[in-house]
Amino acid sequence: MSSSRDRIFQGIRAASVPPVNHPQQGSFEGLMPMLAADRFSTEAVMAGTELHRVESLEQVQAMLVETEQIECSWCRLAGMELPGNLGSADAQTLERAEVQALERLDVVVVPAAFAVAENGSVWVSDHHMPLRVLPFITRHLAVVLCETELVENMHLAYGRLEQASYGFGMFLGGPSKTADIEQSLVLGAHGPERYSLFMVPEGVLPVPL
Amino acid sequence: MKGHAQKAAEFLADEPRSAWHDETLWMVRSKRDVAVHKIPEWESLREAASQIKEHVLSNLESYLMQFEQQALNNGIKVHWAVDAAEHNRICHQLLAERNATRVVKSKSMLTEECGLNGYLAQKGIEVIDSDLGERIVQLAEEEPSHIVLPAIHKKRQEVDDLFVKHLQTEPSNGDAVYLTKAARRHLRKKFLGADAAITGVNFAVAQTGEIVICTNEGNADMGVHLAPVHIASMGIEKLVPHRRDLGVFLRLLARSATGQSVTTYSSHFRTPEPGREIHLILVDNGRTQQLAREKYRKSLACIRCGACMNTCPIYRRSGGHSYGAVIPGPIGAILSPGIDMKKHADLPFATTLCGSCSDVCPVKINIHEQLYFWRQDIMAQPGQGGVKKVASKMAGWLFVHPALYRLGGKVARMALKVLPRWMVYHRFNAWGRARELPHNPGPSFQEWYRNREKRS
Repeated sequence: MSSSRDRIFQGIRAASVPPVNHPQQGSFEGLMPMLAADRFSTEAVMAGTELHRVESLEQVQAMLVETEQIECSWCRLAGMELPGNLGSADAQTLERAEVQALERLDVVVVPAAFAVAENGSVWVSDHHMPLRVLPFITRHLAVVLCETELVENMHLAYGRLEQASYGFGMFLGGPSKTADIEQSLVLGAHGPERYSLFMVPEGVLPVPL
Repeated sequence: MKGHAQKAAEFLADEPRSAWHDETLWMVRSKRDVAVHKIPEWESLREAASQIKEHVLSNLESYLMQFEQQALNNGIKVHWAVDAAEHNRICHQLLAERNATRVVKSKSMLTEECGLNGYLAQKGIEVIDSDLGERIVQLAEEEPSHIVLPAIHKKRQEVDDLFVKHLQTEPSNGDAVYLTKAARRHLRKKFLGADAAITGVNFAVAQTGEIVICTNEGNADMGVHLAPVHIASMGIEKLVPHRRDLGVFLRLLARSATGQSVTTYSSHFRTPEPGREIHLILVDNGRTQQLAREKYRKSLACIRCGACMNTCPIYRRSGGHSYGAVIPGPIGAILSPGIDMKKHADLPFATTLCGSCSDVCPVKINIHEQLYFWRQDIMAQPGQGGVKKVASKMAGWLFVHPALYRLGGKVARMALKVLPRWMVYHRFNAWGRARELPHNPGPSFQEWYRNREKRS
């Protein structure tokens, strides 16, 4: 008896679909670079992102401490001190001893590699977090982004990711949200209720990310 | 079994509700338009997406092999299922081997297609749908009525009542924020206690062996990153060749679905997290058959955005449940007969062939043409058509006998003039049930034209 895999392949062969070429579209019309920054801000804010332009990580820290009751946090950016920081723990320790703590996380801070102007999203990958659940389980997610790391559209975004070797990565477009009850938008479905994006000048974050 | 027309009539009996349903979906369609008009290259994107999908379908075997090899290299376990039954068996076996009894599931039309929830429930496994809309219909013991907005048919008060009953909330007059927060607390417990997470797959990349899952709520990620095992089910048609092809599809998907520029989370899974497992089940379940049907092949390009439903004048006014199929609306009406033509024979007729579905489809599926093809194929079956077929035959006969046709027209115009209302608007005049017949024109066009010649 042939395996299911073989039977599926036989079915595909039997369908004998004539060849169609890949369009090989190189690039699509992009935005003017000058407009990209504006477009990014508009898109991000529209999606529920709390967008801040700051000068330093100290400022990020100050703003977070000011606007949040933080008892438990996770942050690994040098130069930021948040109350109850679990950032020094490795993945196993975090998971084993602190799984209850993870559920209590008030703030998680992670860096993003770059941002996409056309949709206000940022690319975040597991290079910068020992546990993939961190940006989802926290009540407030704060992302730090170098303001010059901005591409115009998703084609250029994937150009940046051509050789990337992440195990997990995502385009993050705002706070978790749902409109499943009569199309009324509610922020904070399962993931973060708040999502802050701090844009910092070149040189503030370590390079390369 | 009730057909689409009968169930649609039941849906329409509640006028305020059906009007609200219609308006709500049109609002989603309008949001789509706003988002689309911000992208000047939209039509080129659709064309590229369409071609990429056709390219994949014409090289499916080699891309599947490449994808399988890459996924294995990444540490993902790959399984193959020819049909729904095998898919469900594999799923259950994976869970049983790990003594998993509590499962969280994020939205997957494929698992709905396979009837996975019911199958696992029978085996004593608790499956919790974690998308809010899906959880609502699960608590109501219903099916999703839309592929992107599963509970779009539910009013807020109904959700309130369900939550009072099942989640012990206080009555809140349908306060969406209160109810969403209650669901969040309820589902957090389920996420933290789950033994396994089941998800669908939006896109799979042959070049890298990674899969992409898009949600707004973050429910897929909460499930997957907390549970030790992730089981992802995907149809074999979900592949794209290269990672960069995702750029085209992610630009199209959310804009077409809800009018967002991108979903909140577009998560790329290439390897399992250390200490965890990813199992991928590649499912055929009729897809290779559809691939062999040239006229309907393109339906396999569908990326499940739901745009064709939101725009469809019939879907908006009949509701998803009236279709009696896992995937309702225009795309469902061309996919479902491919799976069971007898059962779904009335669906290709539940359309006006207006073509709006094809216009909004982000991968340019010729939906309304395929609906028309299905009508012809279904009518060619013995026993199909009934009264319509006889009526068409009679009309055809009349049209080739001009003298009789003219006489018939005269009689009809005369009859409309002299007959009392009750003899014209009765139960056999389905058209006149909610409409007035057009004003009696007096002479026919031919009579008018002849008189005009005489006059000049």
